Amino acid sequence: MPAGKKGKLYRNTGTNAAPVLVEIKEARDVDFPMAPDKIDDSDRGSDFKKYTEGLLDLAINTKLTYRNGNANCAAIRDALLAGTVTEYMALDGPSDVSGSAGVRFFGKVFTNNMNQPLTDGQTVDIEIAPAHHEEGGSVIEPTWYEVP
Amino acid sequence: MAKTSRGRVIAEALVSIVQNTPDPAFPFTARRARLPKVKKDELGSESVDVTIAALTKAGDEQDKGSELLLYGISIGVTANLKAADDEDAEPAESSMADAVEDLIEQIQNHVSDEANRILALNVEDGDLDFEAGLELPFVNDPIYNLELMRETSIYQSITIFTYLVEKQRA
Repeated sequence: MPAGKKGKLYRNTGTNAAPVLVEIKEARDVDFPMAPDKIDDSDRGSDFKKYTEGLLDLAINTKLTYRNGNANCAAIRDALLAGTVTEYMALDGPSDVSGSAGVRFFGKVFTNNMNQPLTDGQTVDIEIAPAHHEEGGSVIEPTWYEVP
Repeated sequence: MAKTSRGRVIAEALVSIVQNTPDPAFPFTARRARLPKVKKDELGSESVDVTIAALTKAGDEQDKGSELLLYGISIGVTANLKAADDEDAEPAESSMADAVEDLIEQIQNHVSDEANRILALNVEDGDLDFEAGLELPFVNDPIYNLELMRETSIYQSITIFTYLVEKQRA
């Protein structure tokens, strides 16, 4: 089991076809919940409730160490303010190591909550969720990505 | 990789800050040293010694690119109360004892003053360049060493100030 700190979070300043990945080293704990809606598919044919999956909810949640003038903090904040769509990757290892895997999707920033506790450092809570994005005329869907 | 002890650099920076405590209640000399003066023959004619040393260090993950180092810097004030010229009171209750206690309070106030909380530090050969931030509260418990006072009339008080240093990983 790889340690959580070995996971890497990236934002892509290039394209899906030709990514230019910038590691977000300011990230602390990173979570990416993946959960479809649970649709009740029950009927009289069974004593058991049955379900089928609805739409899949996906997000990247993390807390960043805030630094004034930091490129990653600024880029994520600007993406929220402008509603910009950017590609993000949350992998279990470095992006240049074959086999590293994780979620990859174009998304918007929906949370950029800044925290300034009296007796601790300043941090930013981030939530990124998938958004529509096309490249070369094709919609780029979120994916479970494995580094070739 | 840094070749110099950050703890020692922080302690050395605090020497000038402590020595510049305004209007001290008792004259003193601050120094960076690993051992405080606790014996009367060590204290000599300088009845109050202020010794500053980095005594503890702990590292903690901050984020995927950096660590937080916590340095516990000890500021020890040691006074030979029998050097007091006060025959009317026993050393522990002398006016010198009161003045030393006031001095300790002044040093604590001065070091924790907002203007002194961030130390910008570097080492001459350039291999270390960092900021150390004071994390409050400081700790002064016990205020003085009771046994030392009882046995030798030496007033010794140690205050621990914690400094945070952000260390970037390569």
